Formats: sequence, C-alpha cells, structure tokens
Amino acid sequence: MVQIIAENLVKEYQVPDRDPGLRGAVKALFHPRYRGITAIDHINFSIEKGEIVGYIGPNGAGKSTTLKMLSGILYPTAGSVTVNGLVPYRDRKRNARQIGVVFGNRSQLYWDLPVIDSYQLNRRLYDIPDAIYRENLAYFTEIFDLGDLLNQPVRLLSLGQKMRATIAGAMLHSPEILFLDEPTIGLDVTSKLKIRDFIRQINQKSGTTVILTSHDMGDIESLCERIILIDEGKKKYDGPVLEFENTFGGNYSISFKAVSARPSQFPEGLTLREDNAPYYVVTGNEKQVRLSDAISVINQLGIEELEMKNQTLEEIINEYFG
Amino acid sequence: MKTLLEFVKAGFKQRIIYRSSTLWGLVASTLTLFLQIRLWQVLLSSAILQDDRTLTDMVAFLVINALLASLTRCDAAGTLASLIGDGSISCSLTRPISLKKQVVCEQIGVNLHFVLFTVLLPAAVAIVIYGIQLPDVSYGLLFAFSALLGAVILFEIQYILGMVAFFLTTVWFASFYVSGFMKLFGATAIPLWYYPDWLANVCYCLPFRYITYEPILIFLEDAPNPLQTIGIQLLWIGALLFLEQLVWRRAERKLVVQGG
Repeated sequence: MVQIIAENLVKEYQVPDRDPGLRGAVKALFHPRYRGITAIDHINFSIEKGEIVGYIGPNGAGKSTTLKMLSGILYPTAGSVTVNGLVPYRDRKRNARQIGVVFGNRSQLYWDLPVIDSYQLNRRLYDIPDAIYRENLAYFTEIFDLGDLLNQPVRLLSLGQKMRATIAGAMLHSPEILFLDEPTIGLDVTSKLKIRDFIRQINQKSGTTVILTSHDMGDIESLCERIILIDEGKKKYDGPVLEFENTFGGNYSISFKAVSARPSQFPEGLTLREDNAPYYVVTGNEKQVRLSDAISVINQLGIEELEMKNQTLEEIINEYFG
Repeated sequence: MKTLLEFVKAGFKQRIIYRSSTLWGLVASTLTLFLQIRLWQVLLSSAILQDDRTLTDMVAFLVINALLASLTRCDAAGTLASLIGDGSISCSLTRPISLKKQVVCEQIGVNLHFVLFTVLLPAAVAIVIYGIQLPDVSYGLLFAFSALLGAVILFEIQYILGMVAFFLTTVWFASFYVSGFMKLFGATAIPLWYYPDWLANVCYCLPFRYITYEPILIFLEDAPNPLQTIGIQLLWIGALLFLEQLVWRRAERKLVVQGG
C-alpha cells in the first residue's frame, strides 16, 4: 500500500543577496536584493507502508525541506504531496497525529523541564490511551536506557541522551510514519547503534514507515534497502541500495605482498600501484574485471599476505557527487 | 482542555525552576510599585496636579495596573520571533495543535507564575497599607471579565506583530512599539484622566486603553458605562481576530525555517 506520494514537488525561496562586510549590510538596508532559490525541483516519489527509505544528498540538497513539506510545516510552491491520504500543509494537525518527526539539530522536549514532563504533555496532546502510553513508555525506557534520565531536565542531558529521549517522545503516540532528519548527527558509536537498533525494531514490530536522512552512510547501509538520492533539489536516483552500489560503485582494492619478482601481466582494467614494493595495491572495478578473477590472477603470482576492500556506500556517494 | 492545561503547566514550570530569578523579580516589582506610589504621593501633595483624586485612588490604580499588567503580560511577538529566528518553529508545527494555542497557553503559565511569586505579595501589602476598597460583586465580576478581554486584546496585537517575523525573520522592534504604545495610548504609566483632551481622544480610537486602563476604571467603580466598555473590547477583539486570520493565511505560506 502506497503511503506517501510526492508529485512534481517544488519549493522555492527568496533569500537576501548581500555583499559581505558592514558596507554590504548598510547597502542592503537601503537597496535590498533578493534571489530565488529552488530548494526542491520537481521531485517525484512514492513510498510503501513499512519501507525504510534513506533520503540522502549533500548539505543543502533539499532533504530537510522535503521532510518539512511532508510534515506540513512548509507549503510547497508547486506540486502535491500526500501522506496517508492527507495533504500535510492543508491538514497539518491531523497529519501530525499520524507521523512522528525528529529533527536532529532540534528537540521537541522542553529545555528546562524533566523529560517526563514533555512526555506527559505529548500524552495529552495526542490523546494517548493510558495503557498504550504506559506500554510505550516502558518499551522506550528499556530500549533507550531512559530510566535515570526521565526525571532530569533536558538541558542536563548529553547529546546522545537527548536524541534518544527525543525519538522516544516522537514515538509515544505510535505513529504509522516516522520522519527522521539526521537522528544520529554528532552521536558516538554506541548511541548511533542504539538508535539504528530502535529504528529496525520499531519497523519490524509495528510496520512503521521510516524516511531517514543522514550523512552517516552506516545508518543508511544498516537500515535501508532503498535510497532516494537528491542533489540541488533534483532527484538523482531512486531504487535499491544494492543496485546503486552495483551501478555507481564496484571499485575495489587488493593489497598484497609479492614473494618473488615484481608482478606483471595484469589483465586490462586492473591498475597496479608499486610505490611500496614488495607491497603492492591493485585497484579495479567489478564491471571490468570481477573481484574473484582479480584475486585468481594475483594468487598465481605467489603472494604472502592479501587484503581486499570493497568501495563503501559513502565512497561511492562521495565519488558520485565529485 | 486538558491539553491546553498541560501547556499552561509547562509555561509555569519553566519559570518556577529558576529560584533566584523569582526572588530578584519579587524585589524588583516591590521596589517599582513602592517607588511609583512614593512618586505619586509627592506629585499629589504638590501644586503640580490640581485634581480631586486621592492618594488611595492612585495607589489602587497602580496596584491594579501592576496586577493586570503582569496577568496580561504577553511577549507573543518575541516568542514567535525567537521560534522563527532559530528555526525551532518547525518543532512547534509538528504538534497537532495550533501555534497560537501553544503560545497563548504557555504565556498564561508564565504570567500566573509572575503574578503569584512576583507581584501578588507587594500588591497585597499595598492594598492593606493604603486601605484600598475592593469593588462590590457585580463590579468585581465585570472587572474580571473586562480584564480578561484586555488580555486577549494585548495578545492579539502581539501575535499579529509577531507574525510579521514570518515575512521579515525578526521583529525585535515589536516589543519596543507595543510597550511604548501601551504606556502612551494605554495609559499604563500616567492615568488618562491627566491627559490633555486631544491625546485622550486619540486614545479612544485605539485599542490600547482597553487592555488595562478601562478594566481599572471598572474596578474603581469609576467607569461611566462598564457594559459599553466590554462591548467595545469585544468589537476590538473581533477586528483583531479578523486581521490575525488575514495575516496568518499569508504568513504560513511564507515560512522559511532557518538553519535547515
């Protein structure tokens, strides 16, 4: 069942165009200049119920803007978007009841109040039945180790603790859809793993649809089967992660120590780096020479040590965006 | 209703946790009130003001003005400007409740804290020391209703100004204007009965005097027609609500969330 549809979605902004320095600031006061920015440029996608989709792209690509339009915070300039049959910007409050939203650089929780106070407010705000509230609170407390944190003011929590508490708060009303905008930004490895585990569990347990933006490709690789890649507001790729890796990636490198003489006679498509003999590095791409074939060739040389490395998703994306 | 109460509680609790701020607020409001009383004591005993108002009248004006000003205190413009300025409005708009209800309910909580812990004590002391008469029940009820409407008028003015931030990103000037207009046209610093006629007439055409000044006249049983006052307050609220809707419809399409 298709749950989220974006059709020809466009978002344009007018931003002040100022010259640098005090002179520029004074000049802008008397002669303000604006320029149009197309943050989202005719984007189309549809997302099925229960999918976890990685929505990725470089800074300023338009990821957060898209999530804000799906959440009903921003009006699109053109095009349409529906979330579970609702038009978010027209029916913001009803849409808010069916989604959970987390912005990694901001918190929904009250800064000065204990975490539990914000949860109590959400309980009333979303009319969460007592039994479900208690069950969810117990579940999130356990999965996120929130026990000691619930009665602490949010301002005293570490970044990781705050993010865990924020995600739990956004999920207390058991939303069908979860929008996560950089949920692991600035977190240590343990906190990241906890959040990844949680997203996986909540998706498996309740069939929650998740759209996840992240610059950490570890998040994407471990959670998403599908990615939507955008750059400068335009969709560049939409499909399985594996297919993306096969199409745009496939680079590998093999490091080895040659026992005898300098290796030679490599098939076309493999490149040898020999600046550290007798340690050599061979690089290639699956589409030209399969990794298994490359290893067979190297094995015939007589080698002592061998280490191979496939190109990671992060490397592929870095290469893709130049 | 329970949801709204939770926002009121959140506003209240956010203030009560800062004990030293509460204490210094109490000291400041006590000093302000008693300095104002002393100033008027000097003015009334001098030949500057030729008036039949007594010091008790003036103290009643100052005390009720202080109480009402703190109950109707509103920085909706500042709140909206800050939410828009740092982009945290995106969090407020993901909640299934209107932005206005969130802002007004939190403000009520903040105001309740301010009245209870900062203004009530010096006001009660002044009432006892200067023997201020409380109005009879009917005037008391009319006063309470009129004061409530006054708070709504101030909130609406602040909220409409705050929404300008949707277009300009910042409205640091809003509170400056509102506070200036409140003092000049709302007669919160000097009672309107000391104004020259032309300025008093200007004030009649603006909503500011209906925020605290007119309710105070009802409290003092000095309003010629309290029901007419309440009627005019309701008309102003209707006009401001209409204007608010007009601005909001344009503003929500203009929103730019700062900081990604």
